[in-house]
Amino acid sequence: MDKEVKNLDTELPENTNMEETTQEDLRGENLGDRVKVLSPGRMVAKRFFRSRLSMVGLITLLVLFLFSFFGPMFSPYKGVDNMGQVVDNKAVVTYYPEAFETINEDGETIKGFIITEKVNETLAGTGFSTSHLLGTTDEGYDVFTQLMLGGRVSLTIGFIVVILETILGVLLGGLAGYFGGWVDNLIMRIVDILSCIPTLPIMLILSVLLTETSNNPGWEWLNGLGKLYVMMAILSLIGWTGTARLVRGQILSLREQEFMLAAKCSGLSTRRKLFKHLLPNVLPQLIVSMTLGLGSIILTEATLGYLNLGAPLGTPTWGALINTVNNDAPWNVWVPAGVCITLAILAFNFVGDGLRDAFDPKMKR
Amino acid sequence: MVKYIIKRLLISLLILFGVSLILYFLVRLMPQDAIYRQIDPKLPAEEAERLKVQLLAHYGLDDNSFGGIIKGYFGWLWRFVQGDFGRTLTGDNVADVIFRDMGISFIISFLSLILQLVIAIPLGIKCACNQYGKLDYAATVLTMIGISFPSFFFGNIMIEVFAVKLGWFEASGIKSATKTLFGFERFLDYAYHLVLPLFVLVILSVGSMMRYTRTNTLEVLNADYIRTARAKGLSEKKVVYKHVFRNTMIPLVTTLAGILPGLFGGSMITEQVFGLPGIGLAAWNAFNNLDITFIMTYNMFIAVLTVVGILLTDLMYAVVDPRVKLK
Amino acid sequence: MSAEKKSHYISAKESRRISKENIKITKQFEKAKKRKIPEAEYLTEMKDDNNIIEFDDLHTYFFTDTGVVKAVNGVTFSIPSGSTVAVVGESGCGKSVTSLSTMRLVQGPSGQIVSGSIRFRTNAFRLDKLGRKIPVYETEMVDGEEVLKKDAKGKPIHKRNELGGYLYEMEEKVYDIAKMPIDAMRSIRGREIAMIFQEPMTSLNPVFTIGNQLDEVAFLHIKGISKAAAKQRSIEMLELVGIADPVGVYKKYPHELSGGMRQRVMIAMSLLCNPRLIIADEPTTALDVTIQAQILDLLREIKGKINGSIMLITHDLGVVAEMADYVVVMYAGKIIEMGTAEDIFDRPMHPYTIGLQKSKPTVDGDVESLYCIPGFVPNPIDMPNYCYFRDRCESCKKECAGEYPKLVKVSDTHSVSCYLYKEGDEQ
Repeated sequence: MDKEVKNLDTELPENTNMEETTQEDLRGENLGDRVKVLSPGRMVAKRFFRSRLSMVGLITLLVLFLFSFFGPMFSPYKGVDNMGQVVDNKAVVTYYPEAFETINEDGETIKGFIITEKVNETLAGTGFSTSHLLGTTDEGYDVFTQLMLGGRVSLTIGFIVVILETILGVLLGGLAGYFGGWVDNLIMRIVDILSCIPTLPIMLILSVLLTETSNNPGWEWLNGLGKLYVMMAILSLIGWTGTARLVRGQILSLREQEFMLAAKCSGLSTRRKLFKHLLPNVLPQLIVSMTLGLGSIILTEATLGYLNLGAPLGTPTWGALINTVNNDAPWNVWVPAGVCITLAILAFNFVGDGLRDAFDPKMKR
Repeated sequence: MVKYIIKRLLISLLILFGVSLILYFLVRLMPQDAIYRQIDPKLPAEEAERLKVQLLAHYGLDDNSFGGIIKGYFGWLWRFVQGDFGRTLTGDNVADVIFRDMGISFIISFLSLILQLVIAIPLGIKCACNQYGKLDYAATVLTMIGISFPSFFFGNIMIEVFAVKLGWFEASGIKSATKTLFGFERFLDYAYHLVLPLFVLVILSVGSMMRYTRTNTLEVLNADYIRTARAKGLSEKKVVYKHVFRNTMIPLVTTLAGILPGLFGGSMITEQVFGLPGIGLAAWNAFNNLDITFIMTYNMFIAVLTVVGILLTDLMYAVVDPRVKLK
Repeated sequence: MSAEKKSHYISAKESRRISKENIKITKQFEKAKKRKIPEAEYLTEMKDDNNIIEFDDLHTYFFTDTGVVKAVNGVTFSIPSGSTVAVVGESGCGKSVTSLSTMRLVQGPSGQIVSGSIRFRTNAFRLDKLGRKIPVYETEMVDGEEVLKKDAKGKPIHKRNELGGYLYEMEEKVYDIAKMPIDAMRSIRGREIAMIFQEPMTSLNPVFTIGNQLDEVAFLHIKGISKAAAKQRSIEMLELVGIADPVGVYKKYPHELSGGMRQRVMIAMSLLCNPRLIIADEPTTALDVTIQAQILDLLREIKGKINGSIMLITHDLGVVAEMADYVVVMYAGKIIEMGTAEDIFDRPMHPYTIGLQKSKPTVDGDVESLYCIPGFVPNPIDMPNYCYFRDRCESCKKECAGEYPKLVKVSDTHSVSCYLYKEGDEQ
């Protein structure tokens, strides 16, 4: 307040006496300028951070990320290459070096060691202990480490699929909305067809197919995580329809708006206008749908794991850990994995929901 | 109106055609060993080989050239349109199996839907009327947790706690295997077995419906005509349960119409977890046995249900909302 | 330039403080709305018995994220019985909020009546010691004495009015609407004060028929009215507002009617219970010009029939000239000038009112281009204590840097809030 009054004083020309003061000076500052408003970015950030649930979600996600991506580094049962392929994370393997001596065809004697690994039976399928926080599985894997590695798989897959889906959806939805006519018709019919295909059964069929293919020479990479990645890639081939609908709808509604007509009248290129307005209109919704999509993809991935359709046995995924319940595994093996899945999905839902509320200008409080 | 429906029906047929094409090609790629399991292993090799060829021809799988696949597809389509869905590996008529198992799936889904409605709608409206209140926060958090639970995990937890540890309910099945019951007792026995699955289904899906109701109610509450209703001097209760409610119900009823056909499709995972002999479990078993005929028919069945659901949603708008006229 | 712009944004710390305070304050007001208090706490006296409603230093604020918006900031005026008072001003000057405050319909929790009073003379139910309504019973003359008529069971018969509604003993009371709990306010809404809104297109519920929405008012405020009587009353009202086919319209849905028709329906709805005060909040803004004239004619005609008062909210001076007996000019939440229609039209004093007059298009005028007042209505957050119009004023003086000018009476009926004028200037 004080500052503003001072500004008023300094604005007055110094050498004028009051009689000569112009109307302009008497009017003082413009009242409209007094009003302070929130910047649009801060408004969104503020609404988002004010919602306690989004914060809880964000923190949970952070913890899960740290847990999955940095956790294994501190695990004594690690041994994972950069691709996420598990080399050896068995907790209780004991190595038995055995000396051997053979004579080959040339009559030379060869001496050496053979190392056989054996799972220490007494340490497989144990409950809690200080060395194995959550015990071990029947195969002798450390559950806690498996949990971290499973998180890596789930989160990585989630992001890959969401990004693929978004790229496909924006591209095809954009084409449909921009060109209209038969292009639109064709793409939208494909969208209709794809959204009528039941996802889970298709995944079941694919799983059988891929397992079959991986038996052929040259396709061995389909064993292990490779199969999971292929399946998720195909999942994104089916899953882009929602994004495409969103983008197409936005473009169509933008075309309808009056300022587009104005742009046309003033000779501006429609294309430029369209893309300039499209981005800010569609980006918030896209971010929200991506966040919520992450949760649902993690769920699908876990479901596949649970149904034993994802990665083959022994690959650490959360779903596979829950699957052990079907073999009457003790609860310390499958419950933590379930909790992790639920937490991850919940966190993405909270964040997505918070973002949606934050972006929505109608949500005033 | 009639013209609109006919147009929509034609588009639906087109969609179904596309879906069936994709499904058929995928199924064609599946291993065919399972078919041979029907052959008596004691048969001499020659005889078995002859039977194999016969079986493949019967399923339309004998020609793996492109033309052959196309021919096989249209052969299948022709039989499908005529209502001949083929036989399962065990020799049952696929249509019979689907009709037999559909009932249980429908009853379970329908009961769960009713329970969801009874909980979700009043709760959603109440939360919207006290937006950001304590109830709203609690309901939001709880329903979100419900939405986020994977069904197989939550189902197994319930089984572990209430069936295995506490022994209150049975872990799987729809009826007691050891006793033969009649009349009311039999009904009670069914109900007893359905408690856990229903509980799980309701908890998992009540959230999204509640949130949908809440969002719609919030939107309606801000409408001008609600202010008019208040200006008349109506009590808040009357405003909400007459003026708001009717408008909130429009989107809700239409989505419900869309859900209804889907109820017949069963839920593969829940039925698998609880061992309920519905259509979902039948499909799950078919996948494990690579029963191609059943897989194909089941998937088409689901696709038809989805298409009918979309159609019903659109038509329902015209029925419920006096403003909508279909063109 | 960019640095200057940034300073118009609120800092994160400031905005946190604002929202925290808002939640605290609005919670208190919301609680006050719901509490149950005895009638005595909001009973009051009129200053002038000729008035139907008196606004006294009314303050209605909106507690927003950017700060407190003083939408109505100390408004004092009154509406004499049987007259039409127009409240005029640009959009955002607080005229609509004044009308919503009268109905207690300001959108909570952010919008609240903070202080001041709205005294309304109402025809209220006489209550017995337990706070119940006292019924009127049928009487008959027996042996020259008036005794209660009894029915077959020996119970007294509740007297009904011509519409079939139960009669209760009534009395004149003066309520302070600003202090009433919402529960009590409901018996005034729609019965004693009715409101016509700006947007006829969205003000009627799309899923109910016109008849349903009209009957609702009768059922609500005329206890014991039969369905047939309510329908008859609704159709009568539709006829009264000049709808050619009232029986047909009664059965229609809002979307089947044109904007003008819907506004007629809204007016019919407001008339159902013979209210003492009709608030018309820009009733013609959303309509096209020919329909506007019809609706205004209708309002004037109706005022004569029901013997009530009208508070007309508008930004259209043409409408004011046609309708109003008295005019109140508002600017940024405050009254800057008020008086009879002649005062304002023939002798406008405040530079803003003069500007408004000049910006009105006239057919016979020889002006080349329409006058326009420079600048915008300020958003009333954090207003300074000097004349709000100063920055747009063409004739401001040295004194204008001083505190906000008081409303001075330049004549018996005419007051203005400006340093250019002194008490009794007009005489």
